[in-house]
Amino acid sequence: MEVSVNTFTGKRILFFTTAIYFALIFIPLISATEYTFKTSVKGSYSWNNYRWVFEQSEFTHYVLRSFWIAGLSVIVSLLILIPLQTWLAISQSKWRSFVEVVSLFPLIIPVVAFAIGAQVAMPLFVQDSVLELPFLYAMLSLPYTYRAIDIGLSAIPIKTLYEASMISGATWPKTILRVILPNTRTAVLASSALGFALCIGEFTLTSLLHWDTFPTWINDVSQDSVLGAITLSVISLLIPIVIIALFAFLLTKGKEKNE
Amino acid sequence: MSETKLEVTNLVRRFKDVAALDDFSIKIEKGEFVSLLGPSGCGKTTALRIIAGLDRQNSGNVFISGTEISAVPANKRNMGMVFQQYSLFPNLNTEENIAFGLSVRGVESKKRTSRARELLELVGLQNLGHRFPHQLSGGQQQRVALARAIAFEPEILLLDEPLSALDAQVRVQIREEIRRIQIEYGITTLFVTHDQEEAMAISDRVAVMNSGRLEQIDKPHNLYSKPESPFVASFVGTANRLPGKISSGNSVRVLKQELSISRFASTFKNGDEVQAYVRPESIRIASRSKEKVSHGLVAIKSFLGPTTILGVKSDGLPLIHIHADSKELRKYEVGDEVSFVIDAEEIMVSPL
Repeated sequence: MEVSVNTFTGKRILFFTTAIYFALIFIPLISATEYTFKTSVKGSYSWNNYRWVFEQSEFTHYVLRSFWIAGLSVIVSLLILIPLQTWLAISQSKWRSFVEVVSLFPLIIPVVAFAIGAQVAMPLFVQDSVLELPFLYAMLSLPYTYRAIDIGLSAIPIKTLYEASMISGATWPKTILRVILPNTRTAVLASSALGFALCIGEFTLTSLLHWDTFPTWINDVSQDSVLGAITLSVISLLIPIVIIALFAFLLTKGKEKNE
Repeated sequence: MSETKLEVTNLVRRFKDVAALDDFSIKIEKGEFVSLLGPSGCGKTTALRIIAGLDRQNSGNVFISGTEISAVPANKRNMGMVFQQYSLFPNLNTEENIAFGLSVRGVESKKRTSRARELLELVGLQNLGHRFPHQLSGGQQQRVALARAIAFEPEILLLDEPLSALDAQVRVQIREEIRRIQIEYGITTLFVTHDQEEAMAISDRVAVMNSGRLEQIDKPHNLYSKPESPFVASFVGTANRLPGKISSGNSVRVLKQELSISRFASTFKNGDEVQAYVRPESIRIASRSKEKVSHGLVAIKSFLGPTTILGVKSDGLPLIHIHADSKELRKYEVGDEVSFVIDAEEIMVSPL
């Protein structure tokens, strides 16, 4: 039958595209990981590179620094985006499409231009402190974080829920905390995970502004130890994967609780 | 003496160049159930939203028990509202939804739970307190929404077409429940609907709106039998619009009969051509031999159970509807000749 032939062809196409998709993601990762275990003796493997990495006192320092900067970036993002996007969705403002386009700017503007512009625009007390990074990272991750929240807000009857909450006597902050946030939890967590992972791995902007974080330290290490740098890169790749897996786990738990 | 609970004066609300409300005023007594009835786009929902504080008027005032609240935000007006769309908070179960208003007012947990349970019982959902909104039917969701709206004992209950998303049977059931609860609690209620049957069935008074203005506010029976404008006459119930001619003083000649005019007599002179509004039930089948009887052919027959409507085609006239007992009209079929007369003490007329 023709239908089954078509279905069979469809399945084959699906299988090959899926295989290519996973190959593109996992083969470089697996190769890099294998390389970090290799020793000078052909065919033998060891934990030496990892041992070396964990012996470096800077390792914990830079990982923790990148963590708190990324965490702060996520908080800055959410504090700006949730009220802004909620207001845009509720008021059905014509500004919504404009703000949406602006959120894409970090993808269009070269990081060099963004870094210089941002550096000049930041208040002086932040310019001289590493605290400028969370604000800049929040802007850099906008194209992803904005969209993740937007999807969540579009999935619920936000205007009616907002009005029902207000007429019941809730203030604007209570409405955000008790109605909007719990009902867009999936989107907020997805936005946070994306933002966190992006900030943890950010190198160009940080380097241009002469700040030191985990990615810039990897670059420094590569001057003396290429294998050490590759090992650190593998670890830095694993961190976002672990974070996203953790968020996915939290989401599943949340859904189970609701059902 | 009755006490005015809600008063709205000269409300104007414009959306760009269109006036959704044009000098709209209304007064509602304490404990009264008033419906705002009108066609789509007449401004009834806009009026309700302004009263709720969810929209702002361009001019005009809103008073509760004599105190102006025009500048008071929605969350401080102490009004309960049931929306057209399902508006329960998806993250909260039924009991938590009902207790939401109490919770944001800082009422302690025990009292909240006991009040939520009392209201769940009131709306007949005592066993569904732990269900989430997606586990409830549309009718159940609107019952919970009603319970949520009255949980914190609001000054006024606002109902924005809460039944329109429900099927016909559930709609009748819930509207009766709304009325029962409203009477039981004595809550002043403003109900927006475009369904006249719904409005007439449960209201103390019905306010008919047209193009942002209040056309008439009256008891359902008066609204039907003594409409004050052509719009009310044709919007509330149905009316045959028949050509007439002012004959003398207070009477008009319609079909072959002289009939008294109920309204607007002063604006007409003898000989003026007018449009007469005759209710389908005010036309009755007559014997062919009698004087002043009109004749026509049955074009449509609609059987409605206890009553039947005949659509009669008569020379040079629009289709005339006759609404009578099914027993009386049983013998007539499409194509049969029928004789009829207008049997009304007074009829309403308007200029052509």
